[in-house]
Amino acid sequence: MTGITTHATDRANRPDLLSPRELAALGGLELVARQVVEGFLAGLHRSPHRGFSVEFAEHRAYQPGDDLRYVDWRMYGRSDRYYIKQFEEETNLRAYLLLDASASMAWSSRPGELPTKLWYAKQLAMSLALLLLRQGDSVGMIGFDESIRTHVAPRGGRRYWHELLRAIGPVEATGRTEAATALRDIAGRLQRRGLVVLFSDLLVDPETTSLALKFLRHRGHEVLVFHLLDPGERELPGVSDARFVDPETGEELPVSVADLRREYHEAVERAIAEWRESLAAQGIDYVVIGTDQPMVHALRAYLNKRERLG
Amino acid sequence: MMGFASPALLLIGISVAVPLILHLLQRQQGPRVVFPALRYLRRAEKENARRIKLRQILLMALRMAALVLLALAAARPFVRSGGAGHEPTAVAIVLDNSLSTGVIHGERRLFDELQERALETLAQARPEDRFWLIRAGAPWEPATPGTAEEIAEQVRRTNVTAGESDLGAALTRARSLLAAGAEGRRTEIHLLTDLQGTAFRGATEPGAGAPPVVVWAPKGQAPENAAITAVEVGGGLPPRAGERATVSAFVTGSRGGDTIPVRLAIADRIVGAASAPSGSAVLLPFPARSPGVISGWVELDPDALRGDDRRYFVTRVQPPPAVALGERVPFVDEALDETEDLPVAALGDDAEEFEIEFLAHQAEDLAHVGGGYPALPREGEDLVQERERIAHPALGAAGDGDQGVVVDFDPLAVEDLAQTFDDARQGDATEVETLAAREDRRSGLLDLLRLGGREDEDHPRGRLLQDLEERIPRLAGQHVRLVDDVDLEAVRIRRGVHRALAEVARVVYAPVGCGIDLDDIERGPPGPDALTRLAHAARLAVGCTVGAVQRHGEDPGGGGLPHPARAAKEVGVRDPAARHGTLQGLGDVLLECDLAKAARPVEPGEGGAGHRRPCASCDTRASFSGQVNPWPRPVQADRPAGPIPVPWR
Repeated sequence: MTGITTHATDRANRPDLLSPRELAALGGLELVARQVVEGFLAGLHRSPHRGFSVEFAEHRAYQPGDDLRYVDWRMYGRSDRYYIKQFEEETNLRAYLLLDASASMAWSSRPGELPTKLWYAKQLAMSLALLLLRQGDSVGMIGFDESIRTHVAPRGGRRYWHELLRAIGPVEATGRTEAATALRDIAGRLQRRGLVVLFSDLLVDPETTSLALKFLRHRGHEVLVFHLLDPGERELPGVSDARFVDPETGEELPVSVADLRREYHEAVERAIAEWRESLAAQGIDYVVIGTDQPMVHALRAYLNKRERLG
Repeated sequence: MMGFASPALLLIGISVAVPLILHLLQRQQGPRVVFPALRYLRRAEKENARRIKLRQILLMALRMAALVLLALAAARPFVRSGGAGHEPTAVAIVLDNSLSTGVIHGERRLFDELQERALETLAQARPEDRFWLIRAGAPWEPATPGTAEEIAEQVRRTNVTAGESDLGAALTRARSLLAAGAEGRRTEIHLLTDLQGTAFRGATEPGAGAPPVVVWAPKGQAPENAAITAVEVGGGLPPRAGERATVSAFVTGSRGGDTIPVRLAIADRIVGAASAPSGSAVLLPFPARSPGVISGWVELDPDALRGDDRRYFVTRVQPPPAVALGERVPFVDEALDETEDLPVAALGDDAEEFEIEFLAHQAEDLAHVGGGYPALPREGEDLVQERERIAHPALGAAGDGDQGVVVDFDPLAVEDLAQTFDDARQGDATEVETLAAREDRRSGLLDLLRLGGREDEDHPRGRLLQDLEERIPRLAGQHVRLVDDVDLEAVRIRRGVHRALAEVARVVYAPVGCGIDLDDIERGPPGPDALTRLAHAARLAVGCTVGAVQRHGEDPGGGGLPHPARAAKEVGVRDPAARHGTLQGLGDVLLECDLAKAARPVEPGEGGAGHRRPCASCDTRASFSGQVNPWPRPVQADRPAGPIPVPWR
């Protein structure tokens, strides 16, 4: 994978900064993911390529903030100028993209205006897959609800991205979410340690799910959790009294919204905090992504994670 | 003590159940919303269940309390503090005591309730307060300010009147009283009424700053009520004696049935009944009566408002018209001949004899005057119809003298002297009953010729009782009744003024409290002796044993029936005997009868007066029955003077 450094910061050239609605207008899954990644990479100031198995690629002028470790002192001795060495990097990271395909992922609080959580998860997953593949990592994908629905074994190579596209495209949101079961199943299938990225709305049992994620951590995986939240899930809808129906179970709950609005908001925030706290305790990165936010936030979270991985 | 001005509005408090019902039902209703984050929702509800429940209960309680307060506010609560809690106030109490307030609600009159409300207001008074009482249903009377005790006494003395109220005028008057007499006090008008719509006909818009009006009116639907709003006897014309007529009564209001029964009572007897729908007039038969004043009433079945169920009337039954013949005409002879051929059955069983009377205008006296005397007097002259009788001056009018010639003159007043003794001998007046063919309508020709059958009216006992009755003052409802027919006109006292009608005029039946329709009230003229109007022109006719009436106070009927015993307290208007003697003869002038009148048109004044000129010297009247005949007749030349006996066949 070749690292491309540009200074273009024009928002028009940064699809990763576009809102999901604007992204949806760009085209299909492949085009959107590609443009997001291209735009994201164009906005990077520093090369993300570090680590072992380094093969020199070229020099570039030093810029303040560059790591002094990569200053080519020989070139400085000859030319009395600072140059930074850039390398072509080969990695052996296996990334597993776990996509929650339960029925709750197909919900949007504002249909036509906001994408579903599943759509957002697909876009984000394919963008990450593209990034990973460009870095020479192996990427696999697993779609699950109560059980594993789709399984694509991790492989490397840019062509493989299209196979991932073909596999993730038909994934539909059906069934109930049993993340704990699926994660345990997945943990059994992952033979080599790698990066596990979970895209889910986390409308699951926190304890069992946390336990399953903890199990993955015990198997040596790095885990990154993208908690996808629709803005309508942070606040109750603007109705007075309603019977709220769970799309997964069909359960109804009559609620006086006026009586519970503030309490609900607090409950959501408290749940997020609990997730963050419990996952952080296990070394699991936890990122809350709203479906109305640009994808750059998620990608940056990935990069931060990737940098820590070295 | 706390009360409510509109306690019915407390029913709004029932609505407090609405929040409770909503609280119980709201969880079962509402739209169905697909919401995946039900986990958070359930968690929020579970964690805050107690607080949420408490909040809901508090909210429900607040809503219910708001509704209770709304109901209380609508009911307008007030606190009675025994009159010690208000500033000095000037209150004008307008108490409606019109006829309609006499309606009975349940078992008591509406007016009694109005009275109680007024007394309640007065009971709350403070010594600094000032009150006026305006009776809206009574005639205008001065309203003076007073203390609560004084006004309360006036309220207690107030009763339902027969009149209608004018609340508009009463309110205007109350404002004026308060404006003038409040003297810095707070002003109020308390209107206690049944809110009849007709009582506000003259209501005016109060100006700015007018005192507030507190109205108390009965609640609920007014009871059904029917009323007689008008009674008319004979279609506006007084009924004739012996003729049937009708009484029309206008009935309004409502009652249970389609029609409303109406009854006619005359002289305390029900004489007719009919029924009519509301808003229409019903005709009731008015039976034939003898001349005189007749009182009666038209009534409905009693309902809630008794005051308008009966309406009284008084009417005067006019005597039948008289036909006088000034001279002999051929058809009279034919009629007389005809009477001789009348069958016995046609005359009735009670009749004993006929009396043929002639209106006496001496044909022989008139004949030499020339010009011809009309066989039938023209309308407006006294012989056509009996009208109001007034005393005629004893002297001829100034215009009469030049038209007459002296036919009899008694300068020595010998006859007057003799008559003086005659007057002294006759202590009491003689009651005279008309002998008109009152109810005997079997022969029109006989009526025309004054051939009336003698019936019970001339009976001395009946006349005695009748006279007794006339002298006993009575009110409606007092059953002082000794004779059937009250002929007030016939009761005349010698030397007395006519006072029979005076007893009838302005009759108010106090026990009933209702006005009376006075359809035909004629006050008897203060005329001379009743018989003077019947005096004949001929003074001393052939065969006549008594002198005709010549002047006021002279009674030619003295030779008739003995007068019924009674107290002769009535003092008539007459000339003193001293001046009626011989000395007075020097001042005597020619009487009309001493002159022969030339034929001329009757003066307008004569017709209007409607009396016969008294002339004792010209009167010739007698009867074979020995009774006084008030209807003179002309003397027939070919028959002996005086009544002609007709053998009873």
